[in-house]
Amino acid sequence: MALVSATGPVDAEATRRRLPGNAATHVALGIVAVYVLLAVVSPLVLGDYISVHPATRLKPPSATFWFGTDQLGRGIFERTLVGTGNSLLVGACVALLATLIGGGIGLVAGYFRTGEWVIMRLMDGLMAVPSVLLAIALASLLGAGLTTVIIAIAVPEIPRMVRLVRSVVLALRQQPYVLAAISIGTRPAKILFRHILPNAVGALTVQATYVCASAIITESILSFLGIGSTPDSPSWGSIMAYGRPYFQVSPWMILFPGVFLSVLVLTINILGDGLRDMLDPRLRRGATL
Amino acid sequence: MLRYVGLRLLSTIPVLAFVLLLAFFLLHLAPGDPAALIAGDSATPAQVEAIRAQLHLNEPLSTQLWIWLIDLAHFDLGRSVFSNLPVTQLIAQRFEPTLMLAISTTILAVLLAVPLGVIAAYRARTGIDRGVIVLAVAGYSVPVFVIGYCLIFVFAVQLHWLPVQGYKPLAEGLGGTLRSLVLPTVALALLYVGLIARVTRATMLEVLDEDYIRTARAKGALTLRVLCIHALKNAGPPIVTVIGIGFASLIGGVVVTETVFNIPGLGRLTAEAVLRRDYPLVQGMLLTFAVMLVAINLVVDLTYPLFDPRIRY
Repeated sequence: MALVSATGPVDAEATRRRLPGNAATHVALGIVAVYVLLAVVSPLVLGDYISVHPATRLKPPSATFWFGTDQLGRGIFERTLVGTGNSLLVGACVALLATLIGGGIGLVAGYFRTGEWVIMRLMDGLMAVPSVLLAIALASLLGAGLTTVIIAIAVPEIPRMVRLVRSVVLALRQQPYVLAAISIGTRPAKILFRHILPNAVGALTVQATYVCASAIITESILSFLGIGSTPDSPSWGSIMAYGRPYFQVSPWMILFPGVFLSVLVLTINILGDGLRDMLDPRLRRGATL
Repeated sequence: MLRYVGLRLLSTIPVLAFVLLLAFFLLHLAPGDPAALIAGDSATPAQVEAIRAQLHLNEPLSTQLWIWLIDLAHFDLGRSVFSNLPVTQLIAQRFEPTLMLAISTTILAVLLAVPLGVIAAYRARTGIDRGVIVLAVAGYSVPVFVIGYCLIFVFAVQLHWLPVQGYKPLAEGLGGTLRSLVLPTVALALLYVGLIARVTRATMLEVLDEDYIRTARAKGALTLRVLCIHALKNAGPPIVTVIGIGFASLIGGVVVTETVFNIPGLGRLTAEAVLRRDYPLVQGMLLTFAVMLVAINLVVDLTYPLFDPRIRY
């Protein structure tokens, strides 16, 4: 395969041309669309998923209860489908938050180099704490609730975003068109938003996709451990946590939300890989031996 | 070499200082009265007061920080609010299972991932390559507790080959320990395999493009020798780096794995500490894990000259 070296602006036309070829990315996009549809429609269409029915406790999957029931007699099918919204919301919000904050800090640190040393050491410090651990600690301190969970998961994701954006900006800053813009006296804000940011968007989007996937896993870990989730809105992690003591006799409580969760995260990661291949031609290299 | 280690240790000071401050201020980030937060809803005012006194929360913030740092310098991380045992003792007690799990996971992951990555790069753009990539993405996409429960269900509940949960300490014999580690190790290693295999593949692809590989091929060196001696050795530093970076996610995974497999290690201790709002213990765990990560990154840096003699410290 020919070596393509595109260090300049992302060629939108080339991206569009390459789009039809990548079947995996399209399938992934389709699956994500199905998940979004499920998240929007299922709370409106499905019946009651909160109230307790002792007569139908721990029933295996059947025609009435497609995914079986939990120890309170609630349908796993309904709870799993309704839980989709929770995971997607957390994933999207964390990705957005981490991109905005991390991207902003990275842009400033990389372009102006003011306080860069302090910022990067702060980021090193944050990265020295394992991200799941930091999220657990933050979520437990800030109390239960969706906002808390989103903040707790977003904070550990910020340093990686800052580092990425900073390195992209440092490289872009040396590009002839940026040097030209600086030398004719373009205002820094205009250089940042008109020249640097549009060329960093590709890297940001790819990283945001990965952040979204890892945020969905972290959310499920938090609610699996019983941290941060609220009892009323079902989350895949908490459905599995309920199933923990019963799983030798009723594995469906863990199986179904587990499959939904794994497929979603896998899909988003594949989508990220597809985006990366489209937006960063340098990584599309093959080698021969 | 010693000079490098010294400088490298100095450079970790800002990072560790930040982690210290983070651990210290964590409790104060929470809204409301920290002592009431730790004591929980069912505590009497006297209990809240006792906790406040134990943690010096009635002193000014600067005094609190000073006391905490002085204690830390004496390796005193305070006492657990829940069990009233010293935090250092609790951590020491729970260290063995986690260490064993981390070692076995790293060994298994490297043994699986490096050959997979090398083969994928050697057979780039073939079915084998695509298979390895899919496996790698699946490895870090499927959450460790989903894999863990699947493994328990198949190999312990259905086939009865391995124990369902729990950990046998080394003192009761190596065989039992290894048996109890098999399933958690596999569950945890899959995540790690994904990370390492990807980086191995990517780095090998780059190295295989180099002139000296063509030279080696031209002089008739065996494929295996070219791959392992000429290529893999030069691909070493990024691979070792990702093994170090992956350790951070390994620690996150340990918390969950130990919960799924009911292993009384540091991860379980952390989850318990957080759920019980055992604040001194949470602080101690944050510090322990941060120091471990910093130490591992230092070791990773020191291995670079093994792969590339041009790097000298």
